[in-house]
Amino acid sequence: MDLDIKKFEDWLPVRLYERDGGIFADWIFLGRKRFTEPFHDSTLEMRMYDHFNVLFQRRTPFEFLGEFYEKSPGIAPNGLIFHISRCGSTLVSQMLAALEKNIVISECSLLERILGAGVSDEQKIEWFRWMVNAHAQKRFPSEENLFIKFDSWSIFDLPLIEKAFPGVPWIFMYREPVEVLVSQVRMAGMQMIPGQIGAIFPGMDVHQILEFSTEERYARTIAAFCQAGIENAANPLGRFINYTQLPEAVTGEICEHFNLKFSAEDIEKMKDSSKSNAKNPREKFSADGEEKRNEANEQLVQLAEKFVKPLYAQLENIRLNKITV
Amino acid sequence: MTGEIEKLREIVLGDDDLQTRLQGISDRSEFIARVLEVAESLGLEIGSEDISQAMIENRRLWIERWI
Repeated sequence: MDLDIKKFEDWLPVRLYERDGGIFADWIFLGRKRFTEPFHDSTLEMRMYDHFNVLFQRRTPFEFLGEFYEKSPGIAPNGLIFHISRCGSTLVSQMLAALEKNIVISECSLLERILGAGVSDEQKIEWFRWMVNAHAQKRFPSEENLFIKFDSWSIFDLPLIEKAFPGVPWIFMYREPVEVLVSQVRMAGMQMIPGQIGAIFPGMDVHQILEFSTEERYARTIAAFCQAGIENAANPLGRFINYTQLPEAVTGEICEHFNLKFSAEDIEKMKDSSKSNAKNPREKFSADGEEKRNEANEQLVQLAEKFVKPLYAQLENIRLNKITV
Repeated sequence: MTGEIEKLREIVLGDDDLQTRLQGISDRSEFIARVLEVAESLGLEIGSEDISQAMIENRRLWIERWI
């Protein structure tokens, strides 16, 4: 392909689309910007405030990302973060992102898009590696580690992601079910859109899914994520982390599991960042478990008991047994 | 995107100095004025309306990128 790889330093693919029978990627100029926002899309949105990025995007065939992967290999992942949503995973990613030596890709929509593409697993794995690589370029001399935090529904794709990056340790995060459900009731996430993620309600169409009450749909969704995590319990690369272990587990158990050794200064920096609200770093973090449990109505508590609590108990068993192994 | 805008895009994306001149401008009117200057220096017949239209179209594609 007649494209100069060097011209793509500090550029990032942000959009994939089909045209004239081919797949293309649009790239924007990232500049000297690290991924420090709680979510990857927020970083991109901020870069789109630069009018240059609106008018002057680079367009390449998608295959160029393959060439980029071959000729400009980025940092290989050190750790992967899966979760059931609303359980502290953003706190983990933000604490890791507090260090300039860490690149943290947090809920990158293009990665999710590739995982959901209607192509063979082999093709997905190849594309997935290409796309991770484009985000994993060492753009600052300090950068040496890469972490990927996925959207909650990516736990269904863990076996495929492992094939793309074999041997990379991962964590699966969860939280007391009522607290998670109250958070979703307050403001539902993408995963709660009926029919959006096929693996949550296998074999059911949107009309059947909508026959459940909203709260039951939420409870079943969280249960499906928990179940998918449990199905990977025997995997020695996995470690199960409860929200109650945060933030200490980030600089302790999680770093150890990801084979990371940070200096005392680094650890202090990470701990400092944990004092902010992960999803809104301008606000201070406050433990809100009790407040959420008090807010739950009887119906939500019953649904949590019926669909999620038994799985939560299993997750706790897995976690505690893994620690004592 | 008009042919002239497309030509401008190709030239700018191939020229690091031009890119540096046009990056990091947060004021839309100032950005369009600078793009017009560049276009004129390159002998391209581009008006502010062409630039505005191209930006609106690209914004739309950006917003609709997951659809």
